[in-house]
Amino acid sequence: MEAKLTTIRSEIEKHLSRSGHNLASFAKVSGLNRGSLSAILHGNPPKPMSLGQLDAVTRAFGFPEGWLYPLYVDECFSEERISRRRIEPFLIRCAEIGKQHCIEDALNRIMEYPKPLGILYSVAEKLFANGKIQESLVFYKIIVDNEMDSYSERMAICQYRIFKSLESLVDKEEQLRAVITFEPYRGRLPENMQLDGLLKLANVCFTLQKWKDMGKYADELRALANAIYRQELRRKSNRRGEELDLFRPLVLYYAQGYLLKATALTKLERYEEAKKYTAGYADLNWFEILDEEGREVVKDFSLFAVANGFTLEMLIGNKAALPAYSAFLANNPGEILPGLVVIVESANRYGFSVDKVLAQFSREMVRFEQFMDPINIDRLYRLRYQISMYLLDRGQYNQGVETILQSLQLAIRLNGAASIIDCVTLFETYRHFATEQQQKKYGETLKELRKNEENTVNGIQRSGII
Amino acid sequence: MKKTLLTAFSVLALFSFILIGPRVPAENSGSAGGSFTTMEHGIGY
Repeated sequence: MEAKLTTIRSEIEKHLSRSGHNLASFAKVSGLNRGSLSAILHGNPPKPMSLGQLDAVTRAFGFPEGWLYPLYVDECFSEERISRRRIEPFLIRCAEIGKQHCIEDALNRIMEYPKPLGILYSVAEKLFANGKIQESLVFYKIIVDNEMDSYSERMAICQYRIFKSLESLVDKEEQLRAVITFEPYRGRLPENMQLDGLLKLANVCFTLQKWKDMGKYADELRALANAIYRQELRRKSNRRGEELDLFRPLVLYYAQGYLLKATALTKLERYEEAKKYTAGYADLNWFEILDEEGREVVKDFSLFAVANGFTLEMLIGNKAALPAYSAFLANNPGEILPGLVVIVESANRYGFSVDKVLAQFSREMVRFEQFMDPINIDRLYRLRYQISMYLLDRGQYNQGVETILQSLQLAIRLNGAASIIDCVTLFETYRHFATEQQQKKYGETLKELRKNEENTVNGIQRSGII
Repeated sequence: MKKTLLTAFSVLALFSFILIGPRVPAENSGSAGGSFTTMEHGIGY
């Protein structure tokens, strides 16, 4: 006996007869037009159903949303073509309510038709615009994997969206992989995304400690922000063309171009050059395109310039600047963590005491554990590592070793190979000062690290390109 | 007396920073709350 094929229509018919409705009564209950309902169920050929109609039927029967979605996929395809009008809202709705298997089914079928990527791009962009970032990624990734023209703007935008979605990644290996993947596409983006992409690239390079790359992206950011500034001034004076739709004020990108460059040069110990770039964002009140948010940015960057001026003084060994720097940090609590990293690093480099500063900010230091973003977790690692060296150098071995262990945990969390090596070598140097309990904790931490390594070898993380 | 108490509290807080350590949040768990900003004197602003 031939098995009866279950279709969306057979299911609706079955429930119609079970509920005792006829077409007229069901049309009334569902709010659908009786003629449309008849054409959908009994037409020859049957009229395709819209997603809105299916949702109305589902509600009228009292079933949960998405009840017949697995069968609705058939409504979106004919032998010759895909119905864009039906598949787009269907995919968006499936993504919104988490019907992954329906998405997979639809995607498998879409890819059999010619030119499917336009539809997927439209779905992805609509999801993205509605704040469904994670839900949009599956579509962007399929486009990236199947796009024939790697030079197209569409490809660049997909890469940008994927890169942006990785903003909160803490793992340095994954961050590096994201940079390598996105970098070639940065120049093919629309200007607003290009500015944002360059800013993000430079920020990631900061946590990766890739100072030359950070400087390179800062140079590109400065050049682009300058060009857009001139272009916007011309547009304003000619009163022609539309204003560029930027994600953040133009002055922020302009200022960051200088700040990031100055920071990269500072890290490369090119302090005199860094001072020149610091002057570049110290006073941006001359900037002609400023709204209220822009004026706030100008104010904040003049504060950063003062702070980074202190940073430079500390790094060249000007201990005399320490009291003023501490006072500045006390007045600007948001700057305490980055400030302490520099202060303790300078103390270690030039051999002076910062006991008073550490005591002064000890209460604030306890609160650093609240940080959750990659930049601050990385800073916290660096602060702890510098404090451990500082304490060990002063013979405070117990606390020093304890801090190494804390630094090691952070280094593992960040998956920073160089940082892990630094912590391990420092611990081994002072192992004879470690208590039995500290040695045990160290052993357990390394054992955990080996476990991760075994996972990698067994293939869990082997799909990476680096 | 007040100063001594404050210093004692500061030392205690520093040690709790060292001994307790930060609770590192789960990956992709969003940004920090509290009064701290995310600047290294401007980085990440």
